[in-house]
Amino acid sequence: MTRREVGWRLFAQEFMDTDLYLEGEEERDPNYLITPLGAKVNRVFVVGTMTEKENVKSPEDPFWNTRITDPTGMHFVSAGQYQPEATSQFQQMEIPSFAAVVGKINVYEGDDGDLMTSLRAENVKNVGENERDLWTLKAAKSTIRRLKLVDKAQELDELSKDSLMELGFKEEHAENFLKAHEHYGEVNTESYWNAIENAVKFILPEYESKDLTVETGEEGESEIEDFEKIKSEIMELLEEKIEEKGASEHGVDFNDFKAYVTEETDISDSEFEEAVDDLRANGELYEPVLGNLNTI
Amino acid sequence: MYQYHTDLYSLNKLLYHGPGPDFYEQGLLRCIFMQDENKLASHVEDIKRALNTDLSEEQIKDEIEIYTEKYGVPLGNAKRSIIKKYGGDPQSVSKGVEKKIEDITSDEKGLAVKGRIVSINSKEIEKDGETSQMRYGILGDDTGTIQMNLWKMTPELEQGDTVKMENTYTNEWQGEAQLQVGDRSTIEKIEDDEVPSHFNQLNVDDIRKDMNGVVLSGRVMSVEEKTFTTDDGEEKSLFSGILADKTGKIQFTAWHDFGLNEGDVIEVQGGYSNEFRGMPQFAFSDNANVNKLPEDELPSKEELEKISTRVKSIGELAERGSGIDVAVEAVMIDIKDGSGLIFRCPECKRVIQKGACRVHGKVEGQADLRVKGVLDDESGALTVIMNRELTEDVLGYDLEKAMEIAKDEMNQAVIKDDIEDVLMAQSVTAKGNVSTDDYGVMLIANDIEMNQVDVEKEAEMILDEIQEVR
Repeated sequence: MTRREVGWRLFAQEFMDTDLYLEGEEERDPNYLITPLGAKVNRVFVVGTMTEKENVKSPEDPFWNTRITDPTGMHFVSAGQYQPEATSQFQQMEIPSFAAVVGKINVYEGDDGDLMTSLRAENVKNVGENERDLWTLKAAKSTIRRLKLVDKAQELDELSKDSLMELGFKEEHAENFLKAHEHYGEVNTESYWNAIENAVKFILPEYESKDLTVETGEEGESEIEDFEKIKSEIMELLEEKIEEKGASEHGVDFNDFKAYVTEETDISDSEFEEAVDDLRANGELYEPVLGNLNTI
Repeated sequence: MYQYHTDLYSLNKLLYHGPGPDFYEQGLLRCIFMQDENKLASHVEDIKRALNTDLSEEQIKDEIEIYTEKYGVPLGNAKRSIIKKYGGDPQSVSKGVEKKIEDITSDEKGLAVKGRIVSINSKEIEKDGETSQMRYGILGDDTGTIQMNLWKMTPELEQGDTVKMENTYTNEWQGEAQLQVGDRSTIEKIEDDEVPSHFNQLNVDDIRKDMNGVVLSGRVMSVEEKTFTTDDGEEKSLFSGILADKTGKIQFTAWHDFGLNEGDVIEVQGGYSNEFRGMPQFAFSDNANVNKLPEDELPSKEELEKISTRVKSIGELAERGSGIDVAVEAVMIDIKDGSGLIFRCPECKRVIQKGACRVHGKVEGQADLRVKGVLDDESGALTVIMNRELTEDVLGYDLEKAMEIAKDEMNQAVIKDDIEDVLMAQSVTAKGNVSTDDYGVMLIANDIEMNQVDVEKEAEMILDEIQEVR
């Protein structure tokens, strides 16, 4: 009996950070990716916003490249002739819309020789906001479970399967985390904690666009207003810039644009980054390719 | 041979009729607490010992509940946090003490334990690209049993051996403490009489196929007498039904009239197990010892019904391979071909393709509705089968209407599309019987419901947890 691979609820951040690939020895053996937090992944289940889709082949023999955004980043999802059901679903789906995707991991080499991860869709379906929220919560819980253990593990003097299991790692996770640690070294869990916190806050109405003001009391109101101003200013400048460059497809380079904004306005580097994170989390802008910004 | 017939009969009955109407009443929480009450007491004692304060047991209990219930902190961590909070030394908990199995918690270090090997097996594991051997099994004493992993292959051990193990540790595996015997642990065989003889008291969910000398107590949830004729032409009776304890339900067969009545709480000494249709079942004959126990040894029949349908993780069910009347909470991530409107051979009920049965050739097919889907909760995945009734519920129309729709559209597949619209990517709670065969783990559902989740409340809880950690 072969065990069916589970669908990992994996945030884009952890998946994008992944480049440890274990290829099956025999042709029919499953392939896996091991994430920095030690998840050994063959199948992923993700619910997010489909922000882009493109048929890169022909109408008769379609091959879809799509992007599914979650609050932490973007999943690259494709489907071709071997995924007929997913392919016909992609055909019908609107941009933007909430999409649930079950897909197998796929890797390819990027321009710079880096290993890039993507998903080959098995099943795709349009869903509602509620399903998106539910998924976000499950993905958060799943990531937190790993993060807590990894935080503890990284305080150990000596990593071994025994010592990890004493911390509460399950056998399989312990083995996978050892491989992850060897490959990735020390993991900066802080950035994962931040991303999850923002992802979960995103579900709560009272946190919408108030990231700056969580505990600031009376000053809060004006800070919200300031933050909103910064965001709308950035959006205006971005739209101008994209039009100026005729870059409506690929967007503009993140660093160039940051330099431009901080030069032209009073907005500081950190304000810029915070605002862009928030705009991205709210789906108002996205990264069509890594390192570029585009409006939706 | 006879056993095969009777098992088939009672299993079919269970599969097709399902549990009674009083099955899914509320009140789960109370049962959970009842079950954990005893365990909780030993944790409270641990904390008290470590603190040496005048904190009352009630206060400690409340503290534990806040950590575990409200914040979902694992018990072991909760204990350490509480001890630290009140100025104690978390390390002092279970430092090199010998414990009875029922007192062992999931966060022990330097633990010593004496017991009898109830079962032991070895398996190959992959470690740093190399395969090596490990052993796993069940250890029992007069207070209970515990799952164990032995990371060393010596000394050789077999079922029935009595051992003393020192410097072991435990962690949590699917909600239960699991004993880990690592490189630094010692294993010593000891005199047989150091462990009481009624040692191998198992829980229902510890029962795997092909076990011998099992001691199991449970409540008789149902029992039925069946007669059969032996090869010699002799008329004989057997008694079969369902036995339940706080960990689950199991099918049983008694090859002798022990005077069992529905509702009895019994202890069977010297039973054995075998497997039928991917589910272990418990059996005992006249050489077993069957005692009736006091009524209050186990929760009532109604409460046991509720406990058994508590949501379990698919990973746990897959590891065990079976379960009667269990519930899972998972997302439907695939609707397989063969779902929707299908036609069956009138002779053998197999699904026919293009009007022909692969055994009976060209036949007049009988229409039916079903769903074959995949449920995935990230701990595991299984195939779920929904019969016509459940499929009709999900679709919101019946078989006749489905045939009409398919006829109008001139396409049978539209019914599958409708099922996908309703179920695909949805979070559901499914109840039924779990079994394992060559194709994997399967749940024959007798109930399926869409999950309603208060996302904002859940989100708040997760944020609380994040704040707690950071």
